Amino acid sequence: MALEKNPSTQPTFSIARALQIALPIVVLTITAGYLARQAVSATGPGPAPDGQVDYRAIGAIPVSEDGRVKPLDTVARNALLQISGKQSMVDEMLLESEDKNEADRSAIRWLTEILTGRPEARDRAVFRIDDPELLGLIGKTQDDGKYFSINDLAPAAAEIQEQSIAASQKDDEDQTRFEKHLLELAHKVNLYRQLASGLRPHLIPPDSAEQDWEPLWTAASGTGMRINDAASRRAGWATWRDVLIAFQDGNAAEINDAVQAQLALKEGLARQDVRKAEFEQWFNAFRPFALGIALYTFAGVLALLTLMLRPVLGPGWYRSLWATGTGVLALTLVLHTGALIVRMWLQGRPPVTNLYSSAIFIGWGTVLFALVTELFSRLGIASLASSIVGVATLFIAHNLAMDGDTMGVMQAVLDSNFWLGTHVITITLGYAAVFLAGFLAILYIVLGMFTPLLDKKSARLLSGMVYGVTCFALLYSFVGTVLGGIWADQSWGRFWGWDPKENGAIMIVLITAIILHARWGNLLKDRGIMVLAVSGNIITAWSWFGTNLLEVGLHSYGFMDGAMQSLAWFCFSQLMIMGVALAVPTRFWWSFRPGKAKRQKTASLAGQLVT
Amino acid sequence: MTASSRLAIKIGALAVLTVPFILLAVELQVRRSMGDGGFFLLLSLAGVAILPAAYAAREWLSSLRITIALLATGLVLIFVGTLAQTAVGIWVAINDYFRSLWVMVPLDIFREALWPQATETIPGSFPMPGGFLIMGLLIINLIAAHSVRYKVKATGQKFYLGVALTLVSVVLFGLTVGIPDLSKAIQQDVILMLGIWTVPMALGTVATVMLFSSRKAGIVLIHAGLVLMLVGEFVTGLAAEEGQVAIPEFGGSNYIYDIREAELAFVTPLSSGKERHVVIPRSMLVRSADEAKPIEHPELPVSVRVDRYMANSTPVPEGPNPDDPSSIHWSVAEEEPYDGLDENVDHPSAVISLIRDGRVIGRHTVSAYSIVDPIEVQINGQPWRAYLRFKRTPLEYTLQLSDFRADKFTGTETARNYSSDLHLVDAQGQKRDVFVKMNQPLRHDGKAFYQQNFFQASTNLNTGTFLQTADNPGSWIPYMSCVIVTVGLCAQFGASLLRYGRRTAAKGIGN
Repeated sequence: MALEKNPSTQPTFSIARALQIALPIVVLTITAGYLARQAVSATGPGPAPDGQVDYRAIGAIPVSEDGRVKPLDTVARNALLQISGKQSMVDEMLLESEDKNEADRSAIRWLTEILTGRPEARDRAVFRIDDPELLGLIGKTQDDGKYFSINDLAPAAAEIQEQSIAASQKDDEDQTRFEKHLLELAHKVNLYRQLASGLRPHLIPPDSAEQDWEPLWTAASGTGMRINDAASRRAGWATWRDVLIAFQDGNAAEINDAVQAQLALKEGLARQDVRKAEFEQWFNAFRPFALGIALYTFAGVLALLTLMLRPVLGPGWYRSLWATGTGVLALTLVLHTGALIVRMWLQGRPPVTNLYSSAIFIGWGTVLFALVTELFSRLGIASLASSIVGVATLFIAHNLAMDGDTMGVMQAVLDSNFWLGTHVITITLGYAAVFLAGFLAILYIVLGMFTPLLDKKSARLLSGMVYGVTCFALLYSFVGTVLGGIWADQSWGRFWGWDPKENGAIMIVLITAIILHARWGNLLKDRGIMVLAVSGNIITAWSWFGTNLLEVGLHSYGFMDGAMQSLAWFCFSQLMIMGVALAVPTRFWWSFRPGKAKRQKTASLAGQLVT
Repeated sequence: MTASSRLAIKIGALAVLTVPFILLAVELQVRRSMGDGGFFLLLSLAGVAILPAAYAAREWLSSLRITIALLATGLVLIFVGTLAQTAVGIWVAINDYFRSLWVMVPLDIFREALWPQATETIPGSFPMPGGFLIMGLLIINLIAAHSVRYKVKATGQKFYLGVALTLVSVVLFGLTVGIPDLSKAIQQDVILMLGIWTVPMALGTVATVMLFSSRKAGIVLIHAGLVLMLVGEFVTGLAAEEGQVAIPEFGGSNYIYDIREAELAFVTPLSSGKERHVVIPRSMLVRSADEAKPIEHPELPVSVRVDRYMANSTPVPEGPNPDDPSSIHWSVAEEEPYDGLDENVDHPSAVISLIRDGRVIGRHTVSAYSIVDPIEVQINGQPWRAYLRFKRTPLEYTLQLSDFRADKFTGTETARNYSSDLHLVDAQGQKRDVFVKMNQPLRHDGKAFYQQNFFQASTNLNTGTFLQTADNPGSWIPYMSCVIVTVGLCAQFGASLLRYGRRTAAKGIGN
C-alpha cells in the first residue's frame, strides 16, 4: 500500500505500463478459465449416446460403505487406488477405442464388472506386485510386468492365504520384508473378494428410516443372495436384480433403464445424503488437489522467475511478475480452500480428521501464512517456499489416499467436533508455520550461498519473516498442545500422559522457543537462526509422521510401508543443508562476499522498489 | 516508595509463593506416610534455605544461554524418552526419563526403536539429566531472569494500583476454582470457564502492563503461566488418583478399584445386613512375606502370615472342585511382572497361613483372579470370607448400570460411541439418572467418571461397563495456565506486530 502513496512510483501511461498491468490479469484469467473448464467437464458428457452404457449414472448410485453414504464412484476409485495405486487403470483392453473422459472413469467400469459378476473382471490386471519373491510365489517374474489379474493370482490363492495367516501371527517387528508385502497383497485380495462376493459396499438402501443399509450378501442374517425372492424384499433388491439381469443380457438401453430405476430409489433416502453423494461424484472427477499440485508448481515457477530476474528487470516489470506469481498462488489457495470446505461439508467435520486431511491442511496453512508474509515482504521468496510445501503436502496426501476412504468415520473417543475443530486445527497450523519458517530458512541458505540475489536488505527482511513466522508457530503449537491436554483431561481425566504424539508436540514448542530465545538474547546471528529453523522441519516431520510410525510399529499398508525411509531421507537432506550452512563461513557465501555490497547496489530489490 | 518497602514486598511475595508447596508436601507426607511427600518436603525446605545463595548468584543463574541449554537438553530428553517408550514401555519410560532427576540412556533403544529387525544389541549407555531436574533448573533460571531483567517499573500510585489489581485478579481466579459448585460447573463447560475467566484475566493483564512496561508484560504473563503449568504437573504427579469402576448390567458398584495396588480383604456379614471389610494393604503383605512375621489386627479373629507373595501370577487348573465336581478348582503359578505397558495388568496372588492361638489353622492360596475360590472359614460361629483383590476405595453412593450400549458405524467394526445409562443412588437412597458417554463424563463428589470400556461377563451374556475415575485436586491448573500463556503470547506477538506495522508504515516498505 505504501508504494502507491510514493509519488515517484506513479509512472505516466505507456505501452510498457499497460503490458505490465495486463500480464497478471491475462495469466490469472487464463488460469481461472482453465479451472472453470475442468469444473464443467467434471460434470460429465451428459447422457450417454444410444448403444452405450451410461457409466456416469452407475457411478452416481448412492451406497453405504465404511459408515457413510457415498456414490458408487467413490467406492470404485478408493478400491482401485488401494489395489493398483492408480485411480484409472492402465489395462489396454479397457482403454481401447475410448475417449479420454471415458478412460478417466475406468474405475467405475472396473467396479461395475466386478459387482455384476462379468467374467472379464477376473482378467483385469490391477494388482500391483513389485516384490520379486512374491512374483515367484505366483509363478511370475519381473519380465511379466507389474500388474496382475485375480486369475493370475488364483493358482497361488491357497498359498497366499496360508502364508499370510502365518505372517500375520508374527509380531510386526519380526516380519520380513516379503511377509509385509505378502500381507499387503492378501489385504488387497481380500478387498477384491469382498467386492466380488457382495459383502461390500452396502448396496441395498433402507425402505424406511428405521432400517439400515444392507449388503447383497449378509452371512449373519441369512439373506445370502436370495435375490430372486423379491416379493419379501426391499425395493432395492428388485431394482438391483434388474440391473444384474440387464448386464447379463448386455443390452445397453436395458442396462441404462435398470440403472435409472436403481437411481430412482434416491427419493426414499435422506435428502442431505443424496445431495452429498451427487456432489461427491463431481468432486471426485474434478480432482481439485491434483489441479492444486499443478497450479502450485506453476506459482512456484513464477515466484522463482520473479526472484531470479530481479536484478535485470525494471521495477514495473518486477512488480508485474510478482503480482502474477502471487496472484496464481492466491487463486490456487482459493481452489484449495474451496476443496477443504467441500470435504468439511461432505464429512460434516472440521477439516483435519486423519493423516490424509492433515497433509492437505498443512499445505493450506503454509500457503495462507506465506501469502500474508508475501504481502509484507514482496520478495517472491515466501511464495516459492510455500508452493514447494504445497506441492509436497498434496503429493503426500495423494499417496496417503491409498490407505482407503479419506473421509472415513472417527473412532468413538475422537468423535468430538469441538476438539477436532480447536485442538487439531491449531496444532496443524503450528506444523504449517514451522514448515514455512523452515523452508524460508532453506531458501535463505541456498540463495545466500549459491546466488548473489540475497542482498543485505532482503536478507534482513527474510530473517524477519522467519522470526515472525516462528512466533506464530510457537503460538499455535503451544495453544494446540495445551488444548490437546485439555481434551485428554475432559475425555479420560489425564491432562498429560507423555504419549509419543504429545511428546512430538512439545518438541515443536521447545524448538520454536529455543529459536526465539536465541534471537531475543542475540545469542545467534542470522545463519545460526536459519540452521535452527531448518531443524524445525525435522522435528515437525518427526512429530507428524515419525510418532505414528513408532506407534503402528511400522505395520501398515501401502504408502506408510515406505514412509519411514522417506522420513529418514527427508531428515538426512535437512541435516545436510544444516551442515553445509554451518561449515561454510558467511564471508564465503556468494551473496555476502566482502566488497559485494557496492556492486550489488543497483540490483538490490529494495533499490528497485523505490527508484 | 522506599527501597526497604520494596524489599519487604519481595520477601513477602516469595514467602507466599513457597507456602503452598510446603503445605502440599506436608499434606502428602501425612496422607501417604512415605515416598514422594517426604522428598518434596525436604526439597521445599532446601529451596527456602538456598534462596539467599541463589539471590546472590542471580545474575549468573539468569543467563539466557542456560535457558537455551536447558530447553535443548529437554528436547533431546523427550526424543530419547519417546524412543525408550517403544523399547521398555510407556510407564517405565515416564518414570525413568521424565519423572526423574537423572537417567542412564542405553544406546540399544535407538536400535530397538528404529531397526527392530536387527538382532544384535548395542552395548553401552550414557547419562542424561532427567525431566524433574531440567524442569526444576528451568524454574530457577526463570525466577532468576525475572529478578534481574523484568523489574517492576511502576512507582507510587501506579505501583499500588497494579499490586491491588493483581491481588483482585488472583482472588477472583481463586474463587472460581475454590467454590465447589462453580468449580464443577466450569470444568464441565469449557466455554463457560473461558467466559468467567475473562474478567480476572483482563484485570491481571492490565495489572501486568501497569507494573511492567507494555513491552515486557506479555513475557511476564507467559512465564507466569508456564510456572503455573509446571506446578500443575507436580501436583498431578503427586496428588492425582486414578482408578476404575466396573459395573455389570442391572448390577451396581460402590467402590473404585486400582489395578496397580492389591489388598487382602476379610469380609463378614453384619447383623444390619451390611458387610464389614477388614483389609491388609499390599505393603504389609510383602513385609510379612519378607520377614515371615504374622500380621495382627484387633478386628480380625486370626492373625495372618504370608508365606509367599507373587506380584504377578497366572491361573492353573488343579482338577475338579472337591465341593462341586462339575466345576474346576483353580490354583496359580507365579509370573514375571509386566514391564508397565498399560494394556497388561499384573494379577498378584499369595499363599497365606491363618494362625489362631499360635497354631496354624489353615494354609490357603488367595489371588486377584476371581476364579480362584476365596477362603471360607467359621471362627467363633462367625462366617468369614477372605480373598486378595485390587485395592478398593469405597464410595458413599452406589452406581447402578441399567444399560450399556456400544454403537458401531454401519458395516464397520469402528465404534461410534460407548455409553452407559446409570443410576446414582446416594447414602439416603435417593436415586438420580445419569448418562455417561465418551467425551461426556459424570462429575460427582470431586471425582470424574469417564466412559472407558466395556466387558462381557464370561459366565453369562451380560455386558458391563468400565468407568475410568480421576480425582485430581489440580485438574483446573492447566486450564488456567493455558489461558494466561495464550493471552501473554497474543499480547507479546500482537505488540511486536503492531510495532512492526507502525515502523513499516512510517518508513515505507523497503526503506
